[in-house]
Amino acid sequence: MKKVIALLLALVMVFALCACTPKDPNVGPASNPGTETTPGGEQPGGEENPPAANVPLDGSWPEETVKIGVEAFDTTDESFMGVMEYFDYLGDYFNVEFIVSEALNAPEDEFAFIDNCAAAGCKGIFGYYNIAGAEAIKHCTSQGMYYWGNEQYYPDVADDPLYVGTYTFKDMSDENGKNGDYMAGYELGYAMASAGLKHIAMCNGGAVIGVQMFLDRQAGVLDGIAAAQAEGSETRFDPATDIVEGFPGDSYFAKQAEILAGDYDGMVTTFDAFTWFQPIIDSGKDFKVGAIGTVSDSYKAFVDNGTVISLVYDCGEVVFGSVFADLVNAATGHADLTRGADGKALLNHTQRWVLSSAEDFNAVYEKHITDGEYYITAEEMAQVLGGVNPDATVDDVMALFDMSLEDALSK
Amino acid sequence: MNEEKLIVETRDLCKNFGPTVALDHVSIKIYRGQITGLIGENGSGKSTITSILSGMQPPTSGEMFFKGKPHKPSSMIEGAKLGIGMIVQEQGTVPGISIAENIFLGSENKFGRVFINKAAMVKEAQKALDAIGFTGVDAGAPIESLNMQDRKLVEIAKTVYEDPEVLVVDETTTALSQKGRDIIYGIMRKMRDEDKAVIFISHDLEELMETCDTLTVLRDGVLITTLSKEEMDEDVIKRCMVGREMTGDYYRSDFSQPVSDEVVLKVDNITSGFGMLMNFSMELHKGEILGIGGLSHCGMHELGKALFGEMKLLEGEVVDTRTGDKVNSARGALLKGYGYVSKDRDKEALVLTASIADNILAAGYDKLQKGLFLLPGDTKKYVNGLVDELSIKCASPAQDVQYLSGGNKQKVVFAKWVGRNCDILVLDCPTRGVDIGVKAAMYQLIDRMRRDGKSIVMISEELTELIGMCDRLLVLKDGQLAGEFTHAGGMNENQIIDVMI
Amino acid sequence: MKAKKIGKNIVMTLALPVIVYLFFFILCNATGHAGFGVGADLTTIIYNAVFAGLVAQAMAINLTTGRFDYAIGAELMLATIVGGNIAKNLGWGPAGLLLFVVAIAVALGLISGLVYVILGLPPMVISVGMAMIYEAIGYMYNDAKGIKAIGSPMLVFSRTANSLILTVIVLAVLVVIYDYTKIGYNRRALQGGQKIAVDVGIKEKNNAVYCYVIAGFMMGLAGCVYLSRNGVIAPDTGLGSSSYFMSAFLPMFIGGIFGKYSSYPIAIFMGAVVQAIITSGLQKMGVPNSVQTVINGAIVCLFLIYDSNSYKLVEVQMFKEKLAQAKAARRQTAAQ
Repeated sequence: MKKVIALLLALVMVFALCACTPKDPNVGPASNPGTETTPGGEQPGGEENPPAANVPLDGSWPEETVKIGVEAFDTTDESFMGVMEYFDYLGDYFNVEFIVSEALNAPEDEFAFIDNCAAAGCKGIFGYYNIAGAEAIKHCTSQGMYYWGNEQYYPDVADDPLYVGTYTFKDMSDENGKNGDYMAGYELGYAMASAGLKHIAMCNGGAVIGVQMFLDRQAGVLDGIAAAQAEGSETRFDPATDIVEGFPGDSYFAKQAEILAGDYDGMVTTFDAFTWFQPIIDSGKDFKVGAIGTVSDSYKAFVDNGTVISLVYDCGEVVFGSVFADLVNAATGHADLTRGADGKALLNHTQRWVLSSAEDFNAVYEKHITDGEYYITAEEMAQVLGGVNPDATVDDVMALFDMSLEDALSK
Repeated sequence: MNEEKLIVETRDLCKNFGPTVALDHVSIKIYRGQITGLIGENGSGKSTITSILSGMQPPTSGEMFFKGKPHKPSSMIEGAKLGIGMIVQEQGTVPGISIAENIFLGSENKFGRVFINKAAMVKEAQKALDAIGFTGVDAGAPIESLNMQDRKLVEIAKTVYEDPEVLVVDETTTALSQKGRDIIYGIMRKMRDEDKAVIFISHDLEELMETCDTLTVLRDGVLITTLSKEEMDEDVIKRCMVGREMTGDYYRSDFSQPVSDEVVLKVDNITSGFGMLMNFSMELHKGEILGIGGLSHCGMHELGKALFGEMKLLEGEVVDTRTGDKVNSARGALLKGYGYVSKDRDKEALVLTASIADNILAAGYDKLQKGLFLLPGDTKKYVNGLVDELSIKCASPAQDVQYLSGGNKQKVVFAKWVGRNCDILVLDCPTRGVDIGVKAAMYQLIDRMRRDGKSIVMISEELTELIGMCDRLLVLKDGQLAGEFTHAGGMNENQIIDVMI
Repeated sequence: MKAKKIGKNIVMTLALPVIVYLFFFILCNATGHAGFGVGADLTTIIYNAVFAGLVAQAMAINLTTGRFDYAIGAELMLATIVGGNIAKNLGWGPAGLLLFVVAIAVALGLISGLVYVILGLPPMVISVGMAMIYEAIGYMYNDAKGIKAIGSPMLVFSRTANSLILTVIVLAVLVVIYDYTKIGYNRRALQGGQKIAVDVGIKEKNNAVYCYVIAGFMMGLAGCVYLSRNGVIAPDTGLGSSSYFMSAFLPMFIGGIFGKYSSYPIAIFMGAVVQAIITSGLQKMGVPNSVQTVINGAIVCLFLIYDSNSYKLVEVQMFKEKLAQAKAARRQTAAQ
């Protein structure tokens, strides 16, 4: 008897689960649109939203909180924290809330996070990190949430009306343009190999375990060094012996010690360089560092003392500001502002800054850390949000985030 | 008896485990300068008395007095502090530490509250070992350097070191070698001579009659009688224990029939990898009970394993003459119709945490299997049939084996093989730790199997049962065959012992 | 006799590190990678050995009594972040770092131990829970900035001389605790036979708490060494703090096998040295990281296989003797 009851219960549960699964991928919290988003066309959301000219920027708009999930791989990473601080700042002006994932290490974690976001009523997902590739994006949009990010999967998902855009560092006129991570590595490699060093090493981070982002950066560094060498640089670098693989750990530190004891006088890292500073101090050497990192207290002392001579820096508001614009526009009925002329999701062209002098570094440092200000203010942001500024155009959105270091410093 | 010598007294002691009555108004007196024996079938309550006395468990009702004062120990530790020392069968030593550390387990404070003076501890431990006459060992050595029987002596040294006024020896002797037994008999006598009290619990009648000054018999939780040395008589004691006359056919009676000439199993000059067994050959006939006897380390237990394909053989082979196949794996032996009852019942013959039904079924799957399935109806019928046939006392076959008494556990082991209808049964100490009632039933069962044409190898440390049951008896000494006896040629206990030693 | 035994013990204790060292020394030189195991290599070997050694001690003290403590990594992280920041802000130098980090680690160990004893749930469950709590605190503290003390004068514990002195002191203390105190004595008794030990009055719960406290102490020291070496510790989430004890397993297994020749803590440390030499040697020869991981895993497996099969070597010898004995007996019988 007991067995029969248990069986029945199990069957009921199975049916209940099946019933709960949404059949229609577009049924979700953000019920957008089958509405065809015609590029630059009329605004379907214009009537639903209040006339926007007098929208107060006090955190009361939009009326319904826009929740956005953020996929992260390391929530204590300084670059990431820089971006989130900027969003926090915007949170004082707009009714937008961010839900950050834990450190995601597996596709199933990623899918689970997306599901949780859907359950929590998120309107969109910001893919700061992505493990499952285009599948993760489809998983997100099939639940009716917008998705922003991950340039490398753009061709697969650009036509998905719920995919709203990503950034790119590519020169759009160049068909074979390389992606942002490659460019970051390239600029760093080129800068270090042009700095008059004798022999440099490189940390390749996740490249050894095949993480695409790090593979791209590594390829960029190698090409950047080669380009500098072709132009006459005498800096030595041999990929066979001069690479520190992986992330900090036993063998990483062993290789690090070997490099600091050897005839090297500099190194490039495709991620942050903090674990090098203490050993460099202990070694007593004059050793130069080039890194992909962020403007923060951690780097300041080492930029000032000349250890860090090149820092490839993704300014949070410049590189990731379009996340906010694209997702909030889509979630407030202005999805048209997320489509390019070809009807595909926006490729927001942006700029990565190479800080190669203490002066540049300190200028950014003062703006961000000393003064707590941003190169793109909330007011400027408001101007590209269709719900606030009915006159906003796609071109306005595109133009705002395409800011070079020179533009920023002269602002 | 001189009442000044009274040291322990219980008045109307009762102990219930749920509906089971373990002790029923037991009033017993233990005196100084005496070895008091306690005997009774399994479950008669003899261990319950001493466990209450030592503080392992509280009584349900009744009073105890120790040295004239009310005695209510809350734990074994308190009992030991008051002067009641226990040597029990199952306790054991702790591996991974030294002999000395085992002896002073729980009383390291003697050698320092925070830091332990190791040298002093080893020295004192050496004294404790010497005191019981266990010499030739280094107290600082790891306990693993001793064999199981000698480790028991370490426990004894520990208990005796604490200088108890009442020493309880609970069925310890079965776990000891002859040397160990001599040591423990010596300790008991010495304590008696020092005017202390000893309580000795054993299944071995002979041992009790030889050692004890008085013998108290218990049955079903009730004190039946207390006998003085002069009153001790084997038949009387047995009658008291069982509560009925033992029938004459305790062992088998018909030794007149000749044993078949058909050889079913042949052992050809085997030397085992473990234990003493070497250069041993034998033949087993159809319908024969072949006894294997000797001192406990003579290699006979290894022989039992070898017959079932469970022993690494360095030389020689065991051949099933009916098929001509070698017996070299337990699985192979099982499929050929062999059964094996191990001496170490709890570890090798049963899964204690599994049910009676599962234990019985374990050896019978291939018999019951229908295609890929075992049908519940079949298994139920199979198990229930065997439980009834062997009258295994249990609430239900779904009950865990670990809660059964020794005798009933052994019946479960037998049931495994009876169910398979084995042709060749290897029984290693089949009646070890089993009470008299069950023993008799076992003997009858074994005899019935013989009459059904089964061949049985009976390995035992009890000479009387070998003589009482076997057609033929092989005696081993130091791993080799030392003598062969047949009923036709006469089986004389003294002759056999001569060969053994 | 006694002198011979001591000699054998010393040889057996040092044999494995020396053999492994020579192996890699020869291999590196033969393959044209000169300079293995000297200078910077040696510094790294010593650092890795000291760090992994300390963590392995912390892990072993509980694991050998059947308590897998998943929280020790989080204890290291949280204690070093909080204690390090306090020491940094107060400017108390190396002594301050040691004091605050170790004190906090001990407190965290105590909390873990008390929670285990009070709740009585399986240690794995409790310690995963505690790890998450500690990680969460570490994440909330100081806006998830962790500690960045790069260049601070208090970071002295990774210098070779200092870390060796630290190791010697730690080993001496541990050997005394393991072999000469009631705590160590009772721990071993509980390890071997929990029920028997408890029956004779050994207080299992007290002992467990002591073990957790000692483990916390070790993790505090490991934290000081780690911070001194790297200058930064970031908070972990999602049980990421487990990476701090991932290098503890091989030293622990080696310690278990060779402990009988000296003392368990010393053998663990030797195991850590062996592991550090292997890591360094493979690195020197330019073995890719992923292959190193495979090799390390294989070595752990080999040790476990050896550990659970070493009795077979004894058996083979035993069988040989037995067979000879049987043959002798046969000859004797034949002669009669």
